[in-house]
Amino acid sequence: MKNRKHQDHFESRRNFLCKSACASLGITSVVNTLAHLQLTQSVMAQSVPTDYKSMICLFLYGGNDANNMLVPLDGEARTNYNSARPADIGGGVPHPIHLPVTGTNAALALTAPPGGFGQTTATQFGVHYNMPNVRNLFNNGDLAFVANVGTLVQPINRTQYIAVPRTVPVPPQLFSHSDQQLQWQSSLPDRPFQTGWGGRAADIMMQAAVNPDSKVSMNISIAGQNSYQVGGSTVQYSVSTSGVVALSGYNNSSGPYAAAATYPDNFTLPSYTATDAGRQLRALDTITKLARMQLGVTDQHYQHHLEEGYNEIMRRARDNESVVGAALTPAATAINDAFDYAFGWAGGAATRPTLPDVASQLKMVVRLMQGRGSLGNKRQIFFVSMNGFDTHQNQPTDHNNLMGNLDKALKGFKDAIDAVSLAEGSSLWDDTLLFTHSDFARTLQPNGNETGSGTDHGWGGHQIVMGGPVIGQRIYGSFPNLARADGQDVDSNRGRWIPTLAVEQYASVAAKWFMSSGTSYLSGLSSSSVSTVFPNLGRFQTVGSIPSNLGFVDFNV
Amino acid sequence: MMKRLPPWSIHLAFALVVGGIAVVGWRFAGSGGERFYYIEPRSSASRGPQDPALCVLPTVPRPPPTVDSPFGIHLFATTPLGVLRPLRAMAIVDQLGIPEMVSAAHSPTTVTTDAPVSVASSAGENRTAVAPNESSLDDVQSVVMLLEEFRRAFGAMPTGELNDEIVRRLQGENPKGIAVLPKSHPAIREGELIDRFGTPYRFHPESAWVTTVRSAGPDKKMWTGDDILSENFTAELVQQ
Repeated sequence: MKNRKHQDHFESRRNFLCKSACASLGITSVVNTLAHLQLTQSVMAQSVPTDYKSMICLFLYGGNDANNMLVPLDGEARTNYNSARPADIGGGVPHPIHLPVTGTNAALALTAPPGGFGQTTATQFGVHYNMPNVRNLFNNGDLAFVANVGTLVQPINRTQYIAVPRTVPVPPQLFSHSDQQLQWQSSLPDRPFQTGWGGRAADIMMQAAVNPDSKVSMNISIAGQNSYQVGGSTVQYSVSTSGVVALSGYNNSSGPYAAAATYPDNFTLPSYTATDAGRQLRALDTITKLARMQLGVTDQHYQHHLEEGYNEIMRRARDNESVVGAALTPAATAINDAFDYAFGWAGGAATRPTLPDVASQLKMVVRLMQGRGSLGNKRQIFFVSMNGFDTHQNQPTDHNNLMGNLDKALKGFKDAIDAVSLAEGSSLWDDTLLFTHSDFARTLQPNGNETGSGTDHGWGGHQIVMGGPVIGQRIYGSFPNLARADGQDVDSNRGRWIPTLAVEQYASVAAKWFMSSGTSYLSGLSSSSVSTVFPNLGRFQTVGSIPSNLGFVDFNV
Repeated sequence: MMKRLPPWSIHLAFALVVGGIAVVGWRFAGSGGERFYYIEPRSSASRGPQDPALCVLPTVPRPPPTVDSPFGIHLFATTPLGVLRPLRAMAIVDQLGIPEMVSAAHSPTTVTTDAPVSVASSAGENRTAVAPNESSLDDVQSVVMLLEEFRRAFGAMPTGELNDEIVRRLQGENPKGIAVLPKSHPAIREGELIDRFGTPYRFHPESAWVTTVRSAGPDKKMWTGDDILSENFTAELVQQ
């Protein structure tokens, strides 16, 4: 009876809770629907960009010895350079990694812009003697360097680095290959990896409906799977240096599956040809239920979500193969010639050179840019890579070759885009921005004096930016004075530079250019979008601005 | 008619019974932890804290023993997962070949190691140690095992690449103060860990979980054919 006394109250409370919960659910759904309608309306109202932009990340795996790519020719930095890589190691013999100012194998001097390079540690700079094309691109204003960039959690100097205990955090596992590669590609060194900054940029731009006519992923890799393009919703699509990899037996000169079917458009059932190949492909599609998926008939035909997911991947791959195949259909003669000329081809009937992998990758990028109309993307991100930079040994030979191949590949890339522009009557070079990333630079002091010696893992390094919008003939950032056990060196005397620019700062300039049209952000994007892509950027600078020594992009191009 | 007990008194009695069981269980469980470790007889001054095994109720890690450097170095570190096994790390260190062994035997391959030898430990005490490695290949493997011991305790390989840098990390110059290498040892010279031929090892950090080790070999020159690489172990085991 005691409980009975409160029964009505309990019932009324339960009823109240039930009713209020139901009411709140109902209201929530209505509010959500209205909100979504509003979002949809706003997205539809956004203007689609009319210009095309392509951003290419060239990753130099292994840790490029940037100290052997861009060298000071005078000043304090040159003195310290000579101290670590002496001009005379005995008997008048220079160190095998020494780049002299004059004479045999001298560094190729760069022409300073009006007013000079603006660096305090040297007034003249040169590039590796195997980089004459890079020198020319630099002097012509198509290429620039950004000095001493690296992974950072917070700004830090040498005093703070060697302090015991250290109160300013540094990226975990410094000097370790895979960790630093991951941190460069994510630009979030103090968080467990989830997405790359290229993936996040694509995510936020797809949400802003930047590519409404997209037929293929905004992130295309020519170098296989990578962390840079891992996004929350955007899936990276890999293309080999020879194009898409389709099922064999169904292809002809017109493209993948062209011998067996015609793909009218995405999400549409292909019309199979009345040939053996067509019948085989139809049978295969029926077995894998791909035909049903392409008809748009989905859920009710699949017994399991995994089956449905698998078929979705198959369908997307098949569609991508078709779309990319169409993009690669235009003639590539001029592109091939440009790269072959860069690697020494004499033209005509002369034997064409065998291109290194990085050149083949960049060639595929140019071909996909040429076929950008078929891909349907107004903004496209590419990822290419070059291996072999972990030069602990045989650096005089190995790194010289790497510098030479990189130099020629960049020259071929520029010339190939110019050839496409000429054929199209466009200015594709102005829509192109290529930048390098690398695990880290390497120790200024080599690990030996023999020709078989090399350099070890460092930290901050110099990067290349290249393209029409680049304000070239400049060295951005702050070039270190190259003093060991002093200045920017860490707690050793080997010359491992503490970065003065964070990856976020460097990469955000490219991202801002990519996310804008002219000097304005694309509709639906703002500086908060930049914060989404680079959550740590605010630790180093004002997110909405670009530091004066890092403005390597002309937004009006 | 017997008077009914109030409900709160039943609850109180139940709570007392449960609490009693918990106290008895705590007492019994706490006394059995140390048997999971082999405790080598040594002086009490060098003995580190010994936490109970992980199967008992979690306890707050004990504070480290007296620090002996600005970095809070203590060979017997306490980690959230328990106590770092110092004996294993010490045994690995004692197995490392040192240049004196080579000069005494005139050949790295003829070192006699059947009988236990006495090696000065980090604390300066003489104690019977395990037999040193028979070959420089085993030395490299021992260094890898040492790195693995550090990784298990710290959660990642030591940060850095230079030999003296790695040695400092292994000696406790790290955020957790975990040390698996003594401050002084015949195989440590001028702050660098050397192989039995007197050449510093080279460390190559591949990732947070993998660091490869290279010994210059008998010719004492890096990047030559007689170099000994830790990464070859797997391949050799497969071939065997």
